[in-house]
Amino acid sequence: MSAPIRKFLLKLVLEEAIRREEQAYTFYEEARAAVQEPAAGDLLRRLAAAELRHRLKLEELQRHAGPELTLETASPEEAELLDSEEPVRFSPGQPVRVEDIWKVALAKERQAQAAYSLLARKAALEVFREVFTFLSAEEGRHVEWVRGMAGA
Amino acid sequence: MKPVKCFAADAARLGTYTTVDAGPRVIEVSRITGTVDKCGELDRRFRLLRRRRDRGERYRRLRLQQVDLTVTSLPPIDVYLLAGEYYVIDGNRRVAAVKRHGLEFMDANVTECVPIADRAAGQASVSRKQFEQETGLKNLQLAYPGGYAALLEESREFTAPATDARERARRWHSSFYLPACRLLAASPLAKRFPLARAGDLFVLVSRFYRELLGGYPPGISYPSLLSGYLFAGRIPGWRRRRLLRLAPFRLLLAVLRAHRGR
Repeated sequence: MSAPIRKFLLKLVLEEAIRREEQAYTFYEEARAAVQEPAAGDLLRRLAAAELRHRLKLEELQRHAGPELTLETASPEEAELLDSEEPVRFSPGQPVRVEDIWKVALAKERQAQAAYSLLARKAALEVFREVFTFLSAEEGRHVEWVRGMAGA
Repeated sequence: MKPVKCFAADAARLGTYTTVDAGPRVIEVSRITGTVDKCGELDRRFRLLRRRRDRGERYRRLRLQQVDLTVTSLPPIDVYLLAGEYYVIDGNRRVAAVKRHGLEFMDANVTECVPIADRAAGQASVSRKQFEQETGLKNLQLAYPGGYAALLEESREFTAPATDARERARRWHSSFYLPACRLLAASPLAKRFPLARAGDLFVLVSRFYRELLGGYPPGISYPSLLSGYLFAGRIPGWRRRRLLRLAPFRLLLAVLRAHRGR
């Protein structure tokens, strides 16, 4: 595959990752509006902030993706991981169970962690590997936060 | 022809006020809308409403009309700043000449009038003064002056090799603030908030990141920060900028996935 095509595909993959972060941010913001407990609200705010930070990092990466920044794609495993998920929405006025929020959040964070660690393994360049490894570690930390809250 | 606004009438509407010397600065001609002592004599473009018998006055106006303002600079006028608009104390003829020539800016000695009852206006005036004194930047215009405190914080936190606070502020202004304002003025935010100036939009974005993330994350350029804000604020039009989300590209990605997944 030629370099320009690989670069373009990388931009597409990053766009998907940005979309995923946006969905997560929207989910946490809407969940925060729906929950009553201050501790849960606080965690959801931290998670939303983290997702926005990830989005910024990914966008920056996408902006500066030059011809040398390419990604070694792909496998059935990767194709499945990078599949975009349907956004979870809360209807206003409907009661929301906090346990359900944590369940969805845990699934989201786990999937994101796996996706980023896969991208880190596939990245051809050090800069990319570093960013994806960082993002994967962050998502791993979020899994711990959510688990801690769900178990509390 | 509508007459020019009258300072006495507009100031009376705001109640008791105090004055703050804002010093010499470059002001926008379009915001010079009133006069202090020529009420009822001038129109909105500062031309005489009625032909005067005073030949001296007519001669002075004619002389000013003949001056080529692209090569001659006029002495600064004196104005009051009241609720975002300027009222001429001295220099009505110069304003008429400048408006006639279609110039955008002119020099002025500005005295700000702050209504005593309006606490927010008082605080805004103090924070603007503090911003100007600390940074030496005098012509940063905000429609909502409450934002000067945020700008001061931004300029203080700006990392630059210069040690002097004013030098750091100048670098922040030229290398960060102005390019950011250019982006903001062309963004969907400007359409969403038509009364705000680019500086106000800058404050809006800055406050958002300060509240949610404790400031701008390191290593992120302003276009990415703006894009993040447009998304998070659900500003209409933000999605249109994401070309890679157009249907043909998404279809291409889906086809590739299907192909590679086989």
